Amino acid sequence: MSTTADVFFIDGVRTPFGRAGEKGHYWQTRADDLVVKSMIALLERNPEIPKEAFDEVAIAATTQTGDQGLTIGRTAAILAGLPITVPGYAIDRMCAGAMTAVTQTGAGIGFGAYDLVIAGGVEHMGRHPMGEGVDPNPRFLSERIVSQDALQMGKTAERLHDRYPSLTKERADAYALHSQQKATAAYKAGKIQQDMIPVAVKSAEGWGLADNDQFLRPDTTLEGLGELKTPFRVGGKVTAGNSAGLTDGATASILASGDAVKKYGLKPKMRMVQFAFSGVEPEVMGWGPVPATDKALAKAGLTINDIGLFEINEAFAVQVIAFLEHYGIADDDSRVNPWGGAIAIGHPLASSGVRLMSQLARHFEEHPEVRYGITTMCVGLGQGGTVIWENVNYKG
Amino acid sequence: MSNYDKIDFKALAESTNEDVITYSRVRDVKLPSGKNFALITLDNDRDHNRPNTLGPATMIQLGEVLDQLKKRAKAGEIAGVGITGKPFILAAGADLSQIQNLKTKDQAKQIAQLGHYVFGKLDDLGVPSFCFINGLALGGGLEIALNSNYRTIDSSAAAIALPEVFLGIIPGWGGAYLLPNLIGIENALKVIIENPLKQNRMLKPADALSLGIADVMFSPARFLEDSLKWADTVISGKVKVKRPNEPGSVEKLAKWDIAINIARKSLEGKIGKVAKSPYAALDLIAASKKGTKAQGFEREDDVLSGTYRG
Repeated sequence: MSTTADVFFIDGVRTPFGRAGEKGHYWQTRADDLVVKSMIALLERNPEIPKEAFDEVAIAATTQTGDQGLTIGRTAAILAGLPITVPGYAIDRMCAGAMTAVTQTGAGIGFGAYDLVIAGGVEHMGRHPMGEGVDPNPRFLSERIVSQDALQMGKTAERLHDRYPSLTKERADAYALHSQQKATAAYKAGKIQQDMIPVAVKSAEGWGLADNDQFLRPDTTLEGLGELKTPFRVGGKVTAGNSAGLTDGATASILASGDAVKKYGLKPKMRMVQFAFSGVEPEVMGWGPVPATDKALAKAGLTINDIGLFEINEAFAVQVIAFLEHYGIADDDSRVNPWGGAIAIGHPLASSGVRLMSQLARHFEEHPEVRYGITTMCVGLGQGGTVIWENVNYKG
Repeated sequence: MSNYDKIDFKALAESTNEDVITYSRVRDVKLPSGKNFALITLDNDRDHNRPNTLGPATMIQLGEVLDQLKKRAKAGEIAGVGITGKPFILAAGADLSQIQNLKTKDQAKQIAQLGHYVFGKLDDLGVPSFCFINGLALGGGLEIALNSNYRTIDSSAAAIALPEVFLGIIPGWGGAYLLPNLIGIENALKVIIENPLKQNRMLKPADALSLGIADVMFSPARFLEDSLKWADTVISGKVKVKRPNEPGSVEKLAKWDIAINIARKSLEGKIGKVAKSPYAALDLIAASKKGTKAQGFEREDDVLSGTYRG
């Protein structure tokens, strides 16, 4: 007899995030190896869970072909040494892939179908550039269902600037600088490394060990950001400096039911309260987190004022400040991305959701006075996703 | 004692004209403790169908790399040195295609001396050396590992062996001295003489581990990551490596000569006295119970050139 259950986030890890392309950590490393290594490290960190106890493995990838294809949740489970009795599947919701892996398997736990799951994601944007092999239906354009800009994420970010003139380039650049500074400080304090697993990488110089995020630029200045090109529009506002770069990386996390927590003596980091996804116009996809957050808050019976910590994916600075402005939160509010975000760390599309969660879990540890936090992100073709989490360390 | 420093190996490299060089490339990696570690990758830039081999030019280059690392160790820049191979392959041994081109007995001796000269540096870096046996390790390939201070092995490595006796030569880059002193007389006889004579039988990684050839075994998916982590614990002293079969003085006194005599009789019974290399190997193993490593290496130099048949 299945009953509804609490859903706990137990642990999450990720690979260092590499620059997509020849200069990146993972140019000669397979995508599936990245997620498999993450899963093995995650299992080693949680030895109290018997491997056969996992009920599901959900791994997300946006481009599900080649080394990201072949039902990657299943292949990764086998390659990570899980027993063949543990099933797995692949998930795609572009940038919110890993987030969706968490919400779907989490929902399965809540429903009583699962007790223990692994949810994660991988995107090797060097091996699988955005848009690889896509074949959009011509109706999208012929019937003007979406604007031509909808398929190019940088253009959707420019459109978001257009829609809200108060979101200036100066604000976007200042936000980006702050993200770099926060991430640099968190690195120096050894915080980000806590959930990062080094990956052995082959290169032209032989084997090496990837143990850092390649997009981090501690020497970023406002002046420098101001001089960058605006590749998506002449005289535009979106630059490589105020958006997340093309990234390779993988994440993996463990979720458990209340029963499993008791049975195996696990130490949960946070509890899933509610989640929601919501669609918006594809040409301003960066707006997605707003309706998704509204929907999740309404379902949870909470308001934005109940949220004490925010992990918002920084696909583009403009998309973050649009969200913050909507809710009346300052661009440099200390509750928002305390260790910086994707602008400094990178955004390997379908894997980023779990990075937000691992980091939120760490913030919760440091902030027992905070009860609720959210992880939220925008998604290509006009979506947003938000998960509300409760701090298990909360001391009210 | 031979002073390998005084020998000019350049002429040997020129005359053998090695067509595929195995490069020794170095990258620094940071160990979990924060220490800096130099990792050498042996790679001939071909796929696994053309395993890494160790000709004179390859060896000279490796020697130069090790010299640089010794300097860096002295300067306090690195806390350890690791050596590993390209995917699936550590090294398949000396470049035998070149051995056939040797013109003189002198050159054959120089091949042995060059191996000792270069691999000997692995035990003289001023910091601990590690061989991460990530795949196939035959002959000179395995001797890289034996000359290192510590060894990890990938549980999926295809084969581990010293097949020299099968080829009519002897393990002449340290193997005949180092192996018996690492895994004991009976095990060494098995690996160096018995196995090669049984249609060149080779060891599986688990065998290499239980014999004590490898100190620890890791699964392939995170072999290098785990090896580096382990090396860190060895360097920091957190892990003390125990060698299960390392011979003590009692074994050397009580068992060594008896085991050699039994092996000699068994050999004579099975293959007669025509084949030279099994007996040459046997004599080397017998002699390995005493004396210094340098003396052991020198004996190998002499014997290897003695097995040269022109």
